[in-house]
Amino acid sequence: MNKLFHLAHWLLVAIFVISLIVAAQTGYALWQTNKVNNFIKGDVEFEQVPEHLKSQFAHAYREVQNDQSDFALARLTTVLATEDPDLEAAAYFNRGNIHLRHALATDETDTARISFVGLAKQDYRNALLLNSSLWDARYNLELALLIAPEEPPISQTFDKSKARKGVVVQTTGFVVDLP
Amino acid sequence: MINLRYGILKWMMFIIITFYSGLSFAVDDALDVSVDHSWGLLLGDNVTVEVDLTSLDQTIDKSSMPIEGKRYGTWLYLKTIDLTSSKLMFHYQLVNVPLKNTTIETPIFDVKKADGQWITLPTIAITIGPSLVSELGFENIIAKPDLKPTLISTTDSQKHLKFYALLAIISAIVLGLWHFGWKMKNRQPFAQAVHDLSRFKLHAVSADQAARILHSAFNHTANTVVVYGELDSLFENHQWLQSLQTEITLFYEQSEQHFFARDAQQGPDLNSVRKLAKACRVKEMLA
Repeated sequence: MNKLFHLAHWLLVAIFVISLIVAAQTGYALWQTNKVNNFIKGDVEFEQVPEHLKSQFAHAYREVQNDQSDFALARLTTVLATEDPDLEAAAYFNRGNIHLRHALATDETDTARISFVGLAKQDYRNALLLNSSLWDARYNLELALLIAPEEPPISQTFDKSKARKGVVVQTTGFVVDLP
Repeated sequence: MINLRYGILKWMMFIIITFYSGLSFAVDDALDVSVDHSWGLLLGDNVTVEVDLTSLDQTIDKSSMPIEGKRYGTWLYLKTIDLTSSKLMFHYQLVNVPLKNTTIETPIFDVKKADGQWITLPTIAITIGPSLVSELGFENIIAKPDLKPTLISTTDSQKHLKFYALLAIISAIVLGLWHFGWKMKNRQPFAQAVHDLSRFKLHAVSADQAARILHSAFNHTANTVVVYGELDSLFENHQWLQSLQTEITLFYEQSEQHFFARDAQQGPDLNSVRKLAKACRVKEMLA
């Protein structure tokens, strides 16, 4: 009985100490998270952008607003390393928007326009693979497809009779028969 | 004559081709294929094509499956494949849409059975279409803006903090009650003594007062007034105090010399009284 009391007493002490330590740790982590959240909200100026990928995403968002799309693009690419699928999808979507804006700002005759649209489409598709309910990504992908449609290849039946005829290429001096 | 021979040959070839083509597609026709959504599909929608394998006498060789995470054709992206003994499920996502509603066929795949024979899985028709009105041109359509940053969720951390803080408080209360008793009247004698002595820490307390408090605790424990000469009966009746016999005897000896001797000696000092009270309380708790 004595031993049991002794054990119960120390168990209670252990519970008290452990719960106090865990509560302190959680409280500290919560304080840190609130600091990052204040950065995301834009309430607080930080010397450096916090390492948390959500704060990187927030900073990239502000960079886009300040016409620093190239920096934002690089930052959003680092955000893609996240394990949070919603954040990853959002990063892909915002990256796609940067490419789409580049495409729309490019002259219609410029071939780079199609390349930018292609990059935008790829990012929107990646966003949708991660989160198919991201309706804004569906909308913008469809818009990108209107700018640069992807039509199925027209199936041309292979005309064997034409093939049998072959192609005659005549050059100076000799004749080459091609199948 | 030549025309007749040519005619017979033509018919024979037709019969042979029909026979063999009938043989090669016989397995395909036996498989049932279904789709969870067959019409009204929009860009980004997920589609699952299910092939019923119950009519197959053999299992499908996994290595012959098409590659997952790849686009097949113009419209569909194959995300994953689930293969069980009874069914084969292709999970697609629509990654492209035509300008008008169009009926398309799902991709054709050849898979190998366990016996090495290849079969072609049947396809199924689905209707896909756009959600944007494209007649006015894309210039009139405004793209959706960037997604705004979201805050890091603190709900779980707050729950954890509340739980552990509550646990710490409850265990502290239980420990406190254990040490000092639930109510004053329920408090054990040495618990009361430790409590009184610690309370007096804040105020000035003399060594005599401290010694009286401890004496009172011993008296309550023994249910009688304990004097130096009757310590043996105290240890006999309360064996849990035996391990502190030397300290208790010394305390009583000093106390007697201080309070009752003609030449009053120096009584037990305050620190030793407190120490003894705490030691007795530990024993009392576990008694």
